[in-house]
Amino acid sequence: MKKVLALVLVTMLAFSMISVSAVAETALPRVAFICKGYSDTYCYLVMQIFLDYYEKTYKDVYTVDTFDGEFDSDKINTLIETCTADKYDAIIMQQNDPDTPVPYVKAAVAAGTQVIITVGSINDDGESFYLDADPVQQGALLVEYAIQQGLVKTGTKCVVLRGLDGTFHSEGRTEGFVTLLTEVGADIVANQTAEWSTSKAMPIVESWLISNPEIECIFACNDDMALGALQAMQLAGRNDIKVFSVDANELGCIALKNGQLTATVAQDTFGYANGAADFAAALIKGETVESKRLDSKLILLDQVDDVMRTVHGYTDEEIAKVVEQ
Amino acid sequence: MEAYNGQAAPPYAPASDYILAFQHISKDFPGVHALSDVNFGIRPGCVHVLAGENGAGKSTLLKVINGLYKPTEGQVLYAGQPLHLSGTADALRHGISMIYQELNIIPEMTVLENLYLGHETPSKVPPFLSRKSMARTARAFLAQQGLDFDLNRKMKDLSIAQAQMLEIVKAITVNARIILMDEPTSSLTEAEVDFLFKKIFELRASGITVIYISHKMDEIFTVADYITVLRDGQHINTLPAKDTSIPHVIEMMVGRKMTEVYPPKQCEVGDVVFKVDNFSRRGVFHDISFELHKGEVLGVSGLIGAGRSEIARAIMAMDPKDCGDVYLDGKKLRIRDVNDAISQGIALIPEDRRRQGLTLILSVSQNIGLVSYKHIFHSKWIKHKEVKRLVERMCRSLSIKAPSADTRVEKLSGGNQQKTVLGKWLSIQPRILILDEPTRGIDVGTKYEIYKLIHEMCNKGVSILLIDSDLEELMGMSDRVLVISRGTVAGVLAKPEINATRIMHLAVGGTGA
Amino acid sequence: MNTQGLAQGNRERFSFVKFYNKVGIFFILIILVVICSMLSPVFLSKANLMNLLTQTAVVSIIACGITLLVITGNTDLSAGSMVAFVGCVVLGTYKSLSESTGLASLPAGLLAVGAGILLSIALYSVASFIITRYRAPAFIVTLAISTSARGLALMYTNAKVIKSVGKIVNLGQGKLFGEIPFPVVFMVLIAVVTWVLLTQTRMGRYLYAIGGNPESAKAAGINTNRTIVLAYLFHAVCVAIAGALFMSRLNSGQPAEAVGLEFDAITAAIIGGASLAGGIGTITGTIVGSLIIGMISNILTLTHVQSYYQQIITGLVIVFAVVVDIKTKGGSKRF
Repeated sequence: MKKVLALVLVTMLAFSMISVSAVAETALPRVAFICKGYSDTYCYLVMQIFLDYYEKTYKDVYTVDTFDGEFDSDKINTLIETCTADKYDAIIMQQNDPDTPVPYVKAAVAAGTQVIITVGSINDDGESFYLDADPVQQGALLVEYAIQQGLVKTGTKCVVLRGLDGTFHSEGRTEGFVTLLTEVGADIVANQTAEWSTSKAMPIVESWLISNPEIECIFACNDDMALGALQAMQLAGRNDIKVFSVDANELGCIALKNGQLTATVAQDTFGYANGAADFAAALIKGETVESKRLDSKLILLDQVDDVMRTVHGYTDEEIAKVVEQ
Repeated sequence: MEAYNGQAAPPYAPASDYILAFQHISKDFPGVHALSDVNFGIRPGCVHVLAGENGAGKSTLLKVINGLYKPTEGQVLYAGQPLHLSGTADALRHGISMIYQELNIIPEMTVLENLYLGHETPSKVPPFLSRKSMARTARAFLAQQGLDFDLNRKMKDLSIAQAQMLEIVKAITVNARIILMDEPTSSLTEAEVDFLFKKIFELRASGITVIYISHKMDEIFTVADYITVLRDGQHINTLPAKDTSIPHVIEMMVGRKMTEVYPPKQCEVGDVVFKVDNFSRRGVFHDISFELHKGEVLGVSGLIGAGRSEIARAIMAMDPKDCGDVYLDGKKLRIRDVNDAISQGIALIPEDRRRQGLTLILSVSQNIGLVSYKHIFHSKWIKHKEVKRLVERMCRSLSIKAPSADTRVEKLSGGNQQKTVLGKWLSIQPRILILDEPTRGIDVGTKYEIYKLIHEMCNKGVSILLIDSDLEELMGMSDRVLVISRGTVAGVLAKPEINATRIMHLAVGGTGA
Repeated sequence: MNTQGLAQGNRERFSFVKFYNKVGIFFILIILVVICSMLSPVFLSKANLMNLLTQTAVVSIIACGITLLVITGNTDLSAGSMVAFVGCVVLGTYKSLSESTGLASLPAGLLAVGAGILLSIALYSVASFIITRYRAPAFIVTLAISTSARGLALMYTNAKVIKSVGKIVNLGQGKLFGEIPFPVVFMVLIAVVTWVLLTQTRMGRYLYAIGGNPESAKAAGINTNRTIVLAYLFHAVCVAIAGALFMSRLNSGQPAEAVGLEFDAITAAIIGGASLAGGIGTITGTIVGSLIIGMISNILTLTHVQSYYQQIITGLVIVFAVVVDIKTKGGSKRF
């Protein structure tokens, strides 16, 4: 009885393996999209925009499977390996770290899987193609604007909220802030990491408001942390502090419209998303592509409506409602 | 320091006569003087027994010898030289090895691994071990000792007796000069005890000194060359065994004359109040039926493994049964779980007080009070004052010796721990009290107190089921004896019929006659 | 400290062990307060102390529930994810109720919090059922719940943040009598209720008995499975309330937040004297433990010390508190 069962199971297994490969050969090229982390609002957004664009443009050119990198370099590397072994034609991934994925990406390319890095790049001597932005530029944009508006000058008391230490974007943006602030002679009274998190930024700023009530400006590496700072300020009744951050995510735009956030920076989200889809299509067809550096834009009240419309899909009605609240 | 009999303690002979000499040894713990100014010596190549009630200091002294404790004052001389041990490993290096009462075994380890624990034989490629050579040596050694163990069996599958045997063999393998044994026979059958004694005599013949703690008088006199009596941390006397007797030793241990071991039973046995009918559980016990009278002590005898404890647990619904009924005052009882049994007046003092009877890290008060909240005070809220009164009452009537009612039970002696368990169950005033090995590991003085307690209970009309492997005790306390053999009732003996031979005969499966 | 010995009339030498046994972890707390007030002039200001209490409230509330679990010898690794999930559900439910049905804010709020509590109870019922019925280790079961809850949170919110939730945020941001933040009020209430449960009720005694020796507890007629399940359900309520407070303080429902709260809660209980082996623990200890952790974070931020030092120092405090605890309890081998 056991033997018969075993024989039946083995036959079924063999049959399914054959049929899968048969089906696979006649199917479209496959692309894997490894999102840095589903719980990262920005990266998730990029993925959504990519998927929308792909549906409209490349549905007949290739299929897409999405994966969650869970913010974990280890997990991301495992996913790259698995997709390589699974013989995907291309992998699109969002950058989490410039060095750790390098051997895995090189292995993928060597095995015939094209790799496209978006929202960042890695140091692999050009094996993969990238759509990148310069995080230092993103940080610098904000400080330049602040200086231009006279909000930051010599002696202005400023604080910096960093993202996860050691990551490309956090290090870059912090460098952008600190270099320019130091140049102009501002006084950085505190500089802490809140690990990209609203709930971690809030108690930090709450305490800063007590230890250093003279703070005039807060520079945060992402909108989520700025929101935590804004919450702390609101509970303490401090509306006088100017807050700057990067991302232009949904809540950030709303805060900007309501006058709480002074300025934010939008990365070229469509560039990242659509560009990646375009790269994938091109590479699959056998064409060459050239890696690009996309500039980020400063978002102020004039530009925020546009961002909300195009990136966050708001209707004019909804945009109007935001201010009422 | 005067010995009990009024004469001065014999001056100790010159240190050279002794392998171990204790000079003014004292050991203090917070609030307790465990040992006070102990002076005596142990001659080499002898079996030297330490006798005394619980709390007398015997275990403490052993732990001082073993390096587990450092004496607060005084010094120990080992072969004439002052002994300063940094710990038990150091003691082992000096040739002092200890077999603990509460065995320290690692259940998942195999026999072989346990045998060599701490001194494994390295192979040619360290840090790997040379399994084969260890196994070979072990097998040969075990065979030499007359033991037959599968080296790959896990320690948890061995019986307590087998584990103990292994500990003794282990001590021998590390070339001990002095072997310390703390109550080694508390869980052994008669045959296993004989085997142990045989080993001890072999050890003595090869020049090894054995220091032995025991409560069992007949054992002491079978095995001892010398006997030291301690009481309340003080040295009372050290004598060659042939110069003393059981009553004399007991006198020295308790400090007063003990005219009888078992108090006289004054209570009249009344009518049948409790009936167990047709209890069966496949593979464990079969068709167990018996009756209990008011104020009676029914001893339950049988070999270890006959199923007595399982029957008791089945009555309490702690273990399942296939069929069987229980009647109290003629009415059938519905017992679905332990609470039903308790609320209808049945209580069980379990066999293993540390595992089933007590919560060691909780206090005396918390342990005694545990069943009272539901069964005495019937309240979800704790009535602190009343619980406190209850606990005080129990501690007083049972003479529980503890620094306070908030002391953790794990710090009490075995006897006081057992009294705590009794306190817990007696507080609910049960009508039927099942005692499973109530005096195991308890000193003579406390045992007597427990016997008196049992009689008090009988006077109050409580019926007692006494499961006991100590035949003497069973016979001294019981009105009738129920003998269980291999899960069935082998026979019931009325008072005049009770004698050791009869009981043993029934227990091993002989037919009743 | 030395006045203690003098007050006793010098009958005995001052014994640190006895002293510590009486005052326990409070001793460490007081020392810490003294050190902190020396390190920063604003530490003892009313604003900062209120901040401190508010910031530790969520973890303290979870820690109350976890103390019960730890006493029975169990644990919960899912508190963080559950806070995220339940918190988002509370905010989301309130938002739907007040927007679509136009219900007034108080009843809508009560319904929303009620929904969160029911959800939490449902999930923890499943967990505790598996833990007791199948004797699965709590560690593994709650770990599974943790990953599931995180996924459920992302699913419920479509991985987006729930914003513009409305008046429910007063739960976390409002103040009683305009002075005491609600989170602090809840923390005190829950701590008191938990204290009463542990010290004044039969169930409390049973929890200790089960943790100390489950076999002995069963022999005493205690229904161990039922009691453990009840402990988890109490904890579920604590987690739900903590979740509602957490998200309302953030002013939005963020499904990716609250990672690792369970470890802060367990650490608070351990510093407070609870033993992972079961049978030991107190609520006062846990709350003090939570305050100690919060204080370390607070003072390091006030003095601009980098946050990684906070982790090192917290680790040292844990070791210190645990060692002192063991030494003064007479070398108990309960770890």
